[in-house]
Amino acid sequence: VEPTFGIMSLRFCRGVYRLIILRASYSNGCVPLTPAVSVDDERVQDYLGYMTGIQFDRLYVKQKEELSLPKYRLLTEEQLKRVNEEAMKKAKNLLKMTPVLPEREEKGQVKDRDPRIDRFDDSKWLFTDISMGREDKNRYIVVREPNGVLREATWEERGRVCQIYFPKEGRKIWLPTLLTPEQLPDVLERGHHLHVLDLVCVQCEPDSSDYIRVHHTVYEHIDKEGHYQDLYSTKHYGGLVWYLLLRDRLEGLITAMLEHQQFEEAETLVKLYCLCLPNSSFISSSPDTGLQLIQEFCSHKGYSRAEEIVKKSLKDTEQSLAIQNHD
Amino acid sequence: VVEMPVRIRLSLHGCTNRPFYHIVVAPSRFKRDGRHLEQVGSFDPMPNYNNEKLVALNIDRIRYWLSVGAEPTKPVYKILGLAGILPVHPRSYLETERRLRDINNRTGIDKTKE
Repeated sequence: VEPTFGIMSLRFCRGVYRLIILRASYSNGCVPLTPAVSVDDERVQDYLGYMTGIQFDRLYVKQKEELSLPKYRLLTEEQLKRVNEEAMKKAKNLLKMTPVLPEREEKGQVKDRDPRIDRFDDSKWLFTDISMGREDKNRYIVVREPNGVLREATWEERGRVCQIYFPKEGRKIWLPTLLTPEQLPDVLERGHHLHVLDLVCVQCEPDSSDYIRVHHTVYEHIDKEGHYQDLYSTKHYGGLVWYLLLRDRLEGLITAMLEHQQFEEAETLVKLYCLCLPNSSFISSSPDTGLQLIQEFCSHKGYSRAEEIVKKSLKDTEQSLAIQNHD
Repeated sequence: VVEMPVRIRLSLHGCTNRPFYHIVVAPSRFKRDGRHLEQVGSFDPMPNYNNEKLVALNIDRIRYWLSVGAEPTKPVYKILGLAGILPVHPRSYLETERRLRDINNRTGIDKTKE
């Protein structure tokens, strides 16, 4: 079942900066909670960026390019260091989190009515302003209906027409069938989460209903099946974490992190939880202690499997410390 | 001195049975499809998959040319009127009346046949 969420609560997310809205910390899993900090906040972005991780083989192997001979360069230590830094910067740029925005309001207001040209034609006339230096979302795009009404074009019409006159690379004029609600579940069953998210990021604007719908469907499917690592070290990981965080459904995510030995990332997740949902019933008594913090969080939330893993790794570290001291 | 007023007019492109117009600023003496001062838009008279007729208008430039005295031809004036940039041309009202009259006449004939 696709979760439905109130648009009012999302508007709150966007407009409210530091005001803390007191809400029950318990979420039914579908309606998002209002976070204390917006997703654009520096701290949130840092935490999500840290959790995303950087795996160079995932980032750079993905693309198919023209075959070319390998290039060899002779570098000093210093030059090599500088080249590595640039590569890291480029990687961070590729991993910048995708925007999370509330759904845009529908357009289509009537600008003018002229009943004297009622039925002047059988088809609509779609007028686009192709003046230079305008942003697509501010363009004057209007429709003259056959009944003589002049109205603003809807977002769907606008998107199509902007793609005709000002095409963006990779975008299609019509929504790809892959992203329709009928075909999407089947595609996800085959495991093409990353492909679908890349496609929708190219095709749709971040505040369009299709973008939000596809992202939510993919996140739900990933949460259900546990394929969190599919999005690890991609620009979509932050969005996934934020989605689950707002719905207070972190069990699968944190368990997957711990199973993959990502203890620092799990600790960051707990810190993010405390930052964004400060009115929840979880308040850590011992701050900043990595594994202890995770264990407290898991036991508080009742994530039994995750707690097991943390306890085991705590025991292992204790044992290794004991052996070291003995030696 | 030869009169050569600057006009905003349609220049026909496309191919047989498939017209496509460029909205063009040109002195009236230039050829219809030939040399022009500037292209300020396009008009596709054949409705598309969604039953829409697409018109592109470079409104900034059209405004400039209108301000320096370029005269739009009747089809272009009609387009600008429907787009809401200029008032609706009386030709549109006339064409609508004639069209409705034709439809009524046709249905009238069908009714009499029955």
